Amino acid sequence: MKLRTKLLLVFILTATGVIAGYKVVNSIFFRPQNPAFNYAPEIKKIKLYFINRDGKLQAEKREIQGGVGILEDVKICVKELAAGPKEAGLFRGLPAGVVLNGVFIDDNRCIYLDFNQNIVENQAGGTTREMQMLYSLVNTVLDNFTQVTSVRILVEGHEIKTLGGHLDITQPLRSKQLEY
Amino acid sequence: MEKIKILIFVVLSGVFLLQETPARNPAANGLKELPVKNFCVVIDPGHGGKDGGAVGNKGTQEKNVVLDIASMLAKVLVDNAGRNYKVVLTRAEDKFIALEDRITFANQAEGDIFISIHANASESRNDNGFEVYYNSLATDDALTNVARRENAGAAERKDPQPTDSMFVLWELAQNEFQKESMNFADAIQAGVETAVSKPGENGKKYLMRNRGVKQAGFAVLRGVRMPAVLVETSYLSNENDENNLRSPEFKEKMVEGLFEAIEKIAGKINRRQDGLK
Repeated sequence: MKLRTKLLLVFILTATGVIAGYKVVNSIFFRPQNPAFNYAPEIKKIKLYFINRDGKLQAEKREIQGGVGILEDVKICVKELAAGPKEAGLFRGLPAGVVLNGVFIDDNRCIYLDFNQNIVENQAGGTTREMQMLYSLVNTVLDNFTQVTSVRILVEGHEIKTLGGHLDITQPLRSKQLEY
Repeated sequence: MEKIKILIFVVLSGVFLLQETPARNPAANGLKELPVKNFCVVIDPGHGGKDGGAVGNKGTQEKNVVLDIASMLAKVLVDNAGRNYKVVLTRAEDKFIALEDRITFANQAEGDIFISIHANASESRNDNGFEVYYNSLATDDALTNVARRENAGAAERKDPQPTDSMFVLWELAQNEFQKESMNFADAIQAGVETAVSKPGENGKKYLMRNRGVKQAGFAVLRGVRMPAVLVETSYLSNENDENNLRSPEFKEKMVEGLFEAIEKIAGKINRRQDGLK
């Protein structure tokens, strides 16, 4: 191979490397930030929906130290919800032992909540109880994050048909009612 | 001469009768005799096997209560002397059946109506009562997806495959079922309330709150291709309701109400089908 050809090949490889490197660095560090989804951390007032003595949803107000974006804040909210109510006369919607593995959002502003298997295994049964659980989650997310349009629930990263054998959760949940 | 007259009369009468007999047979007139059509009721006792469903404070399990009621209803329908019912149970024993299998089973049985029987539970022990649900329609896309998933199972079993135009027909049918499902739910609400409010033996009256007819997106109702309802018989998490569900007399009253509702809706559906012929 001639020296000139070698030099040309080295130049092409170097140029390709530089361009690819620039794109990767740019996508990580200089991505345009959407202020609706990424913001500075601050103390936030939130409403967590639990179940009252009449079996209906009732909000409990709390303050949380927010994170740097919606995904982090949703995670904090759902963890607070899973920890249960502080006010007397309210019951938890989520079964005990439920852990939120991850939170994602898609282009349609649908939030995906990925839980561990306990959300299925620890179900105590009953359509109303299943509705109470689903809508304590959906109301908590939709009421605190108005930029979110719907909620999807995953279990260990997978889509499932129902959590307790009744309500179809294969579609995004948009309703904020207990009975829709 | 008299004897001859009588003989001629007997012979002519015989000939007349012989001619008349085949004329009474519709087949002889080229008419096809219609078979008596069975009205097929698919009864789906919720849960079962490893899935016990809700459990009351006294240990009453939803899977057992609903199997009792479903079996009693099946017997009443089959034993009834009036209409010709064909009854299909999605489970007749304490066995786990996946929702998808219940749906496929109901659709393959080509049921005229589908009734899923459950017992409820709530985080609040004050929650009580009887309610009937019919399906809330999902978006068109969602319905089509359900149909596609349903038919994906059929593809594995090498059943005949639907075309895209069949999905459109399926969606239209869903809307038609929606109205009949609502009518069926209303009939159950009225039938059960009437039956339960009647005093039982020894004048015993059962207290049961009527929570009305509601809509929700039940997975089992979204898949079946027939008018379909889900009955929540009462709350096992409520003391009074659990006692009711443990009482054979209460369950009989519940079944009486369900039977009345099925009679009503079967009459309506049969009249509509006859009108289409």
